[in-house]
Amino acid sequence: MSLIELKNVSYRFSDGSPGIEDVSLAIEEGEFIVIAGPNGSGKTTLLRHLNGLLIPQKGTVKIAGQPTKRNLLRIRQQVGMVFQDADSQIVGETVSDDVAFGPRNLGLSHDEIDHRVSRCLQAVGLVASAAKRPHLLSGGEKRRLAIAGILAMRPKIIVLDEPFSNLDYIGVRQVLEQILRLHGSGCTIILSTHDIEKVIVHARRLIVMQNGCIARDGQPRQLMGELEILGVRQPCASRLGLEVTSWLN
Amino acid sequence: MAELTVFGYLPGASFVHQRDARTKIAALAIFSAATLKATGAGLILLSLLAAGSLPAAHISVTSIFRELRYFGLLLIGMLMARAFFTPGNPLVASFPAGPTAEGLVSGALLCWRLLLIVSASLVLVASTATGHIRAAVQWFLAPVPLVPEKRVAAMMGLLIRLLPLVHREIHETLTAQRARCVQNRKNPFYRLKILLIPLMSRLFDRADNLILAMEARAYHETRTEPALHANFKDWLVLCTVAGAGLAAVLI
Repeated sequence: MSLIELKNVSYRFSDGSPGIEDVSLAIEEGEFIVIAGPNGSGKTTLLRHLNGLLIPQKGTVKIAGQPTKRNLLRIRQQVGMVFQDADSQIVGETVSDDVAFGPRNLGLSHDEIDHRVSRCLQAVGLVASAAKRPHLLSGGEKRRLAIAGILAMRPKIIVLDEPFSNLDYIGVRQVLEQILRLHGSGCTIILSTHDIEKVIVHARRLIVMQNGCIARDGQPRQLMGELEILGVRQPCASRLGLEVTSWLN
Repeated sequence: MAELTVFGYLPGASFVHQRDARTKIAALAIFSAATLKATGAGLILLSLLAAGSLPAAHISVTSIFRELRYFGLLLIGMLMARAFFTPGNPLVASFPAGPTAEGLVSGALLCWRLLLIVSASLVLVASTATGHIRAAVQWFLAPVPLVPEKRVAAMMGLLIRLLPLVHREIHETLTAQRARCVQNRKNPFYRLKILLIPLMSRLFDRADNLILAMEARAYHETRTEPALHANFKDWLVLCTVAGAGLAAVLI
């Protein structure tokens, strides 16, 4: 049994526009997957199905064997989601309050909540900002706060929707380091982006979406040559025939 | 960087910040009731109490005036309406349809009271985390039969949480419009229309995103609320406000 299973999943928005169409996918524990595709290709819609924010109109989505239609609380604890706009994910009035939001929803004791908040702030390097208002943080710090917020729920799977958008070089490196650390600690990482250059070297699997469908699914190295036909920019180094290197080097 | 306002929680460790949310809500209720009943000397006493609570909560008086500048316009409108439409002795004998002395006094008292209540509410909002306000409201409503206290408290919490967002969106929309010389358009209805349409659209978007973010992190009603602790100092504050309120009504 795969950790995540999607079978013939389709979703249409209320205005009739298609979101995703007949998507089938299996993801194993510990994978690092990049989902690429142009704007409107269905990446965000697909990711929102994994966390139960969207329920498929056709087909099934199962997380660890459990359909997302049932037991949403458990699904949302298992699948942590970092949104594209970090500001919209911030619900707390201080950094520590925001990290505590998830554990409070899980009904944990006050001691356990405090313990998780301090552990997660330490993990993302935001201990010194614990009492600050989140809106005073930089873009990279906000994204790390969003990661801390889901880490505090101890998810098995972390879904990141365009985690590098609106970040400067330093911010991208900080967030990338954090993602790699999470993957190293055993989390399954699913990351969507339209700009694969920043992360592709670390992924073992690349899924390219087009018009709500999976257009390609394979190893990044094998798909490099086809990317631009599918509306995804090929990394610079790859275009020049060079090996793509990490942004952390 | 987002502009910050006193319409939202300002983290801190002041004397007012450290008080229990239930104490502050009860004190605000007593203060508001006394303000509505008090006149003249009583209102001066309550004004001193409100003025004293601002520095005690580490809120600058100038920031309050800055944030309430648009509220000031509303107050002026109310004052004028009272002055012109309350029967009494005209201020200018040769202009009987003009403002009356009685109306001016009644309008000034009304504005003073409203200003005091709004200032005290700002102290509560700025010094208390929304989660604590929600937990306190839930605590007050729990004994009331047929009231879904968790839902009411959650709605109040969301409302307070959205206030600074609304303020920020208004500011950002106005700034973007000023950058395109909106001040050259003199028709106030046109300016209101072009402010409200994008503002409402952005606000609904923000509210949708906030709800999605809460759902994604497993929000539900039976969550662990922040612990509330009242101590001797809280009782002291409550007794002081109750005493001042009583004195303000009696004098």
